[in-house]
Amino acid sequence: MRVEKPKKPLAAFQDSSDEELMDRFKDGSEAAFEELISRYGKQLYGFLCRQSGNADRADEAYQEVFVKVVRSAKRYKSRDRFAAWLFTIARNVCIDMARRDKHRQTEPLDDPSEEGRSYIETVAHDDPDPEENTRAAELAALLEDSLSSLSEEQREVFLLRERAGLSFKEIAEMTGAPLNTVKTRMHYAVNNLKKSLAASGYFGDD
Amino acid sequence: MKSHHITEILVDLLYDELPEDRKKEALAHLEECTECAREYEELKKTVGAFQKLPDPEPPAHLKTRIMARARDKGRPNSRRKKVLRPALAAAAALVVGLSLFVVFSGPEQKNEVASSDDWYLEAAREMDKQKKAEGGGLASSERKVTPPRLLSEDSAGKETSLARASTAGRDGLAGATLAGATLEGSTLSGALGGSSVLAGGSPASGATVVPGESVLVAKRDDVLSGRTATAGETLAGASVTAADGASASVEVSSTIVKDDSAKRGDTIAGVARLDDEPNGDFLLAREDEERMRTAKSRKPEKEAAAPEEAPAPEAEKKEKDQAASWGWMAGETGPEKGDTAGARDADTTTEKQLEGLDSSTATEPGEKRAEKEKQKEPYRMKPETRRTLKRAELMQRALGCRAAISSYEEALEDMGYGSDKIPSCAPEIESTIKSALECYYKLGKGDKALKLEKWRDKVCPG
Repeated sequence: MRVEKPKKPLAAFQDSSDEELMDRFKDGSEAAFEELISRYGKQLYGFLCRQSGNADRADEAYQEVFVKVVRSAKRYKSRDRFAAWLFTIARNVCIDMARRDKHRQTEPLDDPSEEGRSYIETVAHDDPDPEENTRAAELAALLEDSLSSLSEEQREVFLLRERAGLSFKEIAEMTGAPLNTVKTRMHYAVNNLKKSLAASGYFGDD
Repeated sequence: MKSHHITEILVDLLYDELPEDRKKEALAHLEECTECAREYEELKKTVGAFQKLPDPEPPAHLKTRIMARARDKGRPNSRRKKVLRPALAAAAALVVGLSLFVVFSGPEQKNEVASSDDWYLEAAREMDKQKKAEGGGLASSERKVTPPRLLSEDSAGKETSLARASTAGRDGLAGATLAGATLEGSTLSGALGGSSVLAGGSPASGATVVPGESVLVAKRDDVLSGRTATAGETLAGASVTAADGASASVEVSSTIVKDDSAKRGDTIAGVARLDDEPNGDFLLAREDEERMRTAKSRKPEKEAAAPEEAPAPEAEKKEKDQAASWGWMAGETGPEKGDTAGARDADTTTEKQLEGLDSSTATEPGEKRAEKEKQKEPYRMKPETRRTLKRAELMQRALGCRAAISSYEEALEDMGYGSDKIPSCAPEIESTIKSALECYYKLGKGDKALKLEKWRDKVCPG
């Protein structure tokens, strides 16, 4: 069920775990940090886009998250899973940004008419077949629309589990919610997404 | 029948969150129930669709910027670190230097201490003058102050970020300390004219460093043990830590004196732990009184144990020594290293300091007091812990909570935090907890704060 990490590892770090990379970065290895960005950059950016609502804010958050990673590197303990640590920072950055932008309402993800870029524009569809590309773009828009229709809490749990690859336990620790609450949110999230897709005819007639 | 459907557990099944037996039942049900099986398939498709959804690519320029920041900040040999390192080294050197000074400066080193203080007092006065002349700001004048012993020019150069590194700042660093200063972006001016030694207190008149303890800052007009402190005076073992409350600690000292507890040659070690709350000091003073009384009450008991024999000269000397260092007499074990140094050094100075004071002894019956003490077993802070705590306070003032918290944690561990043994409630413990909690809150470490609060409730209920 977990998303595979986008990996194009540098040869030197191919066998290194995230935690080892962080340790190396703490020791001064810039390349190790670069490798971590390569491993998690897209995943994190996607999470931030979906949570913050548009690409401009995601850009800001993305930088902020990694700057915080740099600043907090010394406090990172390699017994903590890097992904959980990273997305905890990301979540906190999102919360801070939401507080700062309280006066601004979150715009629909695919509404480019409003302030800020729609992040869906930034999703690349690589299929050589233009028709397939269009279909993929439509599906992506549908999925993103479904995601944005979820409550903030449901979306957060769904993204952390499905996109960040965290366990329910890690999500519970991160959000401070009881494990069962997290599972319940996931239950509602998946069912609501399914309903959205069903309403748009995604499952066909069968 | 709808009631037999298992739709409510399909998501759990999907994420493999069901216990093994329920999972088997659910899978068996899916074999039979087409409706549930269809539902399950749709859920799987839903999740699968989202898993295939590509993530947007972060703009390349963001990575470039982040890497630049990482180069700048993340690496140990970064430029920023290069700037900060001497400053931090200077701070560390100051702390270590003072600690060593405190530990190793015995009576034989007194002249050295005095001369150091003389220089120091002179420097502090100079800086006060400068500050007044300039309306209270950090001296930017070219006027030089005698360089310090603790912070050499090497350890705090012009380019360091302490006090944004002006020439005056360097001179100021010399004479001043880190008390009240903030590294980077802020000033050290608060420490320069306004405060002197680590305690962040007042101008240095009347201040000195006390062996066996940390640093004592007394204000010029402070009343200590019923009289006014003089410049360069050693206040044996007394510990003043806060900036503006020296008078409160003095009151505590006076309380003891008024209580006729101290006698010539006694030290008042550990008496004045200054907090914001005068009541806290007072309680501590009471504890010290109690210890002293108990110590005195033991003397007749020892004598009673061998009434027929004249005490051997060695034993007599031992008892005499004990009586002279009443602050440590209550302990079953001997005084600790730091304490010994403090007591030894304090002997001569406190004789002067306490001269003329009433030395009558306490009147409470010994047995009753001994019993009371046995029940109470008051907490006594070890010198090392006190130093750690001082370091934490210093770091907090100078560098903020982030730098200080580990020292607070260390001090708390010394006090018993994290172990099974719960110490008796004492103002030092309470104030340390308070400071650590403050830092935890500032740093957003709610879980640690909660844990510490629980411990506090055990140590100091109510």
